[in-house]
Order: sequence, then structure tokens, then C-alpha cells
Amino acid sequence: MVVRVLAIETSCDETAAAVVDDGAHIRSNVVASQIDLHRRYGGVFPELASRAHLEAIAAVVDQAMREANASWPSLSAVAVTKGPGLPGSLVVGVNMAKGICLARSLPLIGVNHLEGHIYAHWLQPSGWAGSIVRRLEALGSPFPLLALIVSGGHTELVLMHDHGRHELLGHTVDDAVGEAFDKVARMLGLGYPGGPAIQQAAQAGDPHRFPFSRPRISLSPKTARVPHEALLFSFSGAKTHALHLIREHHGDANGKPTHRTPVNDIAASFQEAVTNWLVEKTVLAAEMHKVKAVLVGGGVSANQALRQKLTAQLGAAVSFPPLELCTDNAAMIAAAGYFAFMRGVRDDLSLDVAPDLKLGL
Amino acid sequence: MSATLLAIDTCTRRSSIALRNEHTLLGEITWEAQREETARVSARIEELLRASHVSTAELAAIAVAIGPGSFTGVRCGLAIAKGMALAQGLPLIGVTAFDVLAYAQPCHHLPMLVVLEAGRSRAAICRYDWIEDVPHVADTWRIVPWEELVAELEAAAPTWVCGEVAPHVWARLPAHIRAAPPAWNLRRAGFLADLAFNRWSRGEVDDVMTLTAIYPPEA
Repeated sequence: MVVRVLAIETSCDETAAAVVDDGAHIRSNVVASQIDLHRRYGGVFPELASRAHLEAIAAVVDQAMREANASWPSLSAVAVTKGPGLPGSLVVGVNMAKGICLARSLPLIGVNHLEGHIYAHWLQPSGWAGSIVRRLEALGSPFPLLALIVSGGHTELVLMHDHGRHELLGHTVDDAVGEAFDKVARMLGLGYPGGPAIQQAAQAGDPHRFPFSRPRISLSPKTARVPHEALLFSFSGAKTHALHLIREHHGDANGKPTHRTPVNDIAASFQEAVTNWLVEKTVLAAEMHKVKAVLVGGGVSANQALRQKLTAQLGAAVSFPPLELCTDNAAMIAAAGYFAFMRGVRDDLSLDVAPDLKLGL
Repeated sequence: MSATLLAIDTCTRRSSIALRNEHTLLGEITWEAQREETARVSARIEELLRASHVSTAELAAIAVAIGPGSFTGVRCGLAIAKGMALAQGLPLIGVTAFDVLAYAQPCHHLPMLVVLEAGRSRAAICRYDWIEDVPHVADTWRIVPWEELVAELEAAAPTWVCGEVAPHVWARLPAHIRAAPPAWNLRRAGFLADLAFNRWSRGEVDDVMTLTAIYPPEA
């Protein structure tokens, strides 16, 4: 019998719903993006995001059910992102899910958004041979696995010992990597979202013109919960360095670039440094824990330089899902929800949003 | 069993839910929600359904208060209402929190000012006039600091004031202003259910896909 999960994801600026069978087969995967809404702010404006989620949510869920050709009684459970994320945005998705569960007497499963990014690798969309985890599973246990989650809100290295057993190995001590891309893109006048904008500018630039010094990060009371300082990330220094480069190279009185500022070279050098740090620490963690594979997720995993460098270092042991499953989507929440459901995880109707939820601590 | 309507109002700290059918208010829970206590609403709806011996399959319509109020509170109620309406294919009826309070007041033919907490020492206010014994919105609602509200009322004609007036403001209302007694000031979902039931009977329902909250103009 098919286990069919309807999933809802509203943790940041995408209103998403999906119907997935057996944690693998995507029947529908609907994402309503708010990129246009937030472009003028150069980042996500939380109150606007919450409003847009409420306006879109019913139509997005309805579309996911229709495209899946799924009836309400055919559902086995509803999974929803409970955190981490923007509180006001999470409230919309969680309460929508609760309304559906209440009306249909369905089990409710609150999912950690970061776990969703990892479980994107268990999905088997048509046109994709499938992630390395499915091939490893065919041979026995795929664990331990290492996940690198890189997005506008996250930069995490997570060791996965088994389904539902995670250990946080590394995280950023300041900005998330995607946030740094957004901020540097805004400084350089390249627009929003910053990841694709920087990547495009970098193609015409010299990545070795401006060396970025490696951040020195040490364990502090705030970071001491991770086992090794070598696996911590920091991106605020790179952001500040980019600002100095603009000022030093014909920036105007407000620190904005002029036509003489080498925007493409700054973008390329920034991207070169940041992707190098991500790759070095990921490879180090993979070696330290002798993992069978490295699973990459989050919007920044769309970055071509990052993909090429990780593939060069890790070869067939690194896995990237198709782009639409790297960025925020609900199919990955359905996959994570499915595995939790099969382990017997259930939430009751008092499930609350958890904006600061961690994974593996 | 006749058609049952569920009413949900989580606009401000005073949250309320109710069930009614054609002739009877079957049950109502009204509580003072603590800050960020939105997590409890769904569980309380389940509790009310159980206590009223109503199954979700018996629900025929959902009513929801669409604000103004706490942004998160309003969106919480609307999201639950949308989820239930979508999953059961039920009509959804949105009503402002002002209308719920105005509808609950006794007919006294005085101009009426309905007040809701708006946070940061401010009130959201809406004026109503009585036309053929029914309150009608007389003016666009707006946000005013409490101090300004007191000054406005000092200069106003005799007015019936009801709703969530801050405790320190009640005592300062001028003598010609009639303050509603406490029971009239509590926004109860039983009245929301009545209003929505009437609209539903007239075929006035909202679109589950597009119904959204009302926000102050400056926000």
C-alpha cells in the first residue's frame, strides 16, 4: 500500500506544497516564489513574506493536490516545516497543515527544514537517475552520510548516522553563505537574488585578482557544541573585504561601485574564496568521519564553481539533486516526513513553530 | 443534524471559537491567549468539537475573523480556517473583528465607536451608525494613539464606546461618553458565528483561495 504524504513548506520566501508517494515518487511539487516581491529590498522582508504566504497557501495546496490527482482520503499524513525559519512565515504553513489534519483526521508531522534538504536525495523524480543514497541502499546501509546545506539562511555540515540520527559538525558563526552572496551582490549593484547574480558577473572576472584572507574562527561558548573548530564557517569578513575593495577601487562617497570599479573581478574573487572554504571544510569532514557519500542541498548548491570543485575533490561520492530540489520545496519535506512517519513520529495539534530549530545538537 | 458552522477569531489576545447550527449556539470557548500562543488554537477547536458532540464531517461552513489585530494571530486563524475549508470543501466567510463587536452591542441609537488593541499604545478604531436598528460602518477604520482617542472623544457628540479599551483609558473617558460594560466588550465567536451564518444564508461567501487579512494602511 502506498504511503502518500502531502507536505507544506513556508519557512522563508517560497510558498510550497507537494504530494509524494513512499518518500520517493513526486506526484506534484508546487512552488510559488516571492522573489519579485523582495527584490526591491535586496533580501527577504519578513512581514511581506508572511502576508504573501497567507495569500498563496490555499491555491498552492489546491494545485499540489490537483496536479497529483490525489483525493483527500488517499492521503496518509501531512508533513509541514516547523522550523528553522521566519516565525511569521512558519505560522502560516503550520496552521494550514493543522487545519487540514483537523478536518481530515490525518496524522501531522512537523519536519526540520534542514532535514528536508538532506532528504531531497531520497526523492526519485523522473529524468534523474537518483541520488547516490539509493544506490548505496541497494548495497546495504548508506550511512554514515555527510550533508552540506548551503542557502540564504543556512551553512551547515551535518553527519547523518541513520534516519533521524544527526550530528551537527559545523555551522556558520555569522552570516549564512547565501546571505553573504546576497549582501555582496547588493554592494556591487548586481541585484537579487545574489547567488546567480554573482555567478554571472564572476564568469567575466578574474578569480585570482583579489585574494580574500581565510577567516580565523575559534570555538567559543556559542560554538562549543560542535566537535571541531576547523569545521566552523564565517563569511562576514569576506563581505567586509568586498566592501573595502569597492572603496579602494573607485567606489563613490557612499561606498557604491562606479563604472571604473572592477565589479566582475571582485565578484569572481569573492566566489572563489567562499567556495574554496566550503569545499575544504566539507572534504575535511568527509575524511574525518569516513562517510560513504556527501549530500549537498540548499539554494547555493546551484553555484557551478561549488559543484565543480566538490566534484573534482570527491568524485562520485558527492551528490547534487536536480536544481528544483536544491532550492526550498515541499517534496523534500514530504520525503523527510515519510521517513519520520515510518519511524512512528507523530505530532499533535499543539505543534508550535520553532524558528530557531537546530539539527543534530 | 442541521448544518453546523465553526467560527474562529484569533485577532487579538482575546481569542474565541464557537459552533452553531441553524437555531442553536452549540458551544463557545473564549480565552485570554498568552503572547505567541497561536499553537493552542487547533487543539482548542478539537476540544470544542468533542465537547459539543460535533464531528468535522458535520461541519458545513467556516467563519473567520480577518482582523485587524495581531498580524500573527490573524494569520494563524485564517490559515487554520483555510486548511479546514479546503480539505472539507466548505464555504468560508470572513468577518472583521469590528463587525463582530458592533453586532454584539445592544441597540441604543447612539453613534458607536468600536475599539481594538493595536499595540504600541495605540488603538484601532471604527465608527458605526445605527440604521433601522442595525449597526453600519460609518467611516474607514484607522489607528490612533490612546491619547489622541481621548482627545477626540472629549470633542465628540455622545458616543457608545465598546471593545478593547486600555484599562488606563476607561477612567479618562469624558462624562458624555457611554462606556460599554465588560460583558459587551469581550469579542465572542458566538456573535461571529451569528453574523457569518446570516451572510452564508444569503449566499455571501468568500473565496478560500484569496481571502486574506486586513492590515492597517501604514503597515
